[in-house]
Amino acid sequence: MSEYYGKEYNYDIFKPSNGAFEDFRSIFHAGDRPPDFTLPLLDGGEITLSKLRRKPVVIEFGAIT
Amino acid sequence: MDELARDYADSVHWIFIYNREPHPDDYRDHRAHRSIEQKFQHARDMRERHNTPRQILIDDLGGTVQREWGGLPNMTWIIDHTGHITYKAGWPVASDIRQFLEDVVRVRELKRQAAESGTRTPTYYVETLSFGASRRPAIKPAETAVSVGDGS
Repeated sequence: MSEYYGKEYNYDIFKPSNGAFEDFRSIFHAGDRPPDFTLPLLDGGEITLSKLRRKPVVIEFGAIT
Repeated sequence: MDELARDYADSVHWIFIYNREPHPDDYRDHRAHRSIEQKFQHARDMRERHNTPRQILIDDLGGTVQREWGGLPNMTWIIDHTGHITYKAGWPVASDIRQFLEDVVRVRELKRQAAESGTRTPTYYVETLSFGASRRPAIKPAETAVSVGDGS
């Protein structure tokens, strides 16, 4: 994995030369079963990926800046 | 993306994982998170600013889930109803995602019909590159990102 984890983000970490994109490319792929997770909802409660049934799940990652 | 989430609210689960701020030095009011409480507050700010209908989940301060899933700040993944990955993107190009979701809904119906008739529905592996026009991340600009060749 890249060395940026645990540091503040900045533009440099998104350059292909730093390896971040390679981490993404080499991780699991279409057809694989991804790792499960449980995360808190903003307004309380939590969601576990594997408990979302019967419909496809769109998962976006993002932030403000 | 908010429009997409509304359009497909009945046919997909749609979740948004709020992760680290990728450009904290650019925004005085949204510096890098120093506590989980601050991270929750920034997520509330995001929802208020964009009035997004998507369910927002908060990754931990170290970004554990984000790191496990590839580490990029604006990834989009789609998991099918059997729990397998069907779509993987390092950037949210809304027109691509809309096209893919249309196919997902259509193919599910075809598979249902095929199962009833006892015919096979083979799965194909496709790998592609797409090109978003938007330079900036965050959820708002992504809504206007377009793919090469979509005529926009």
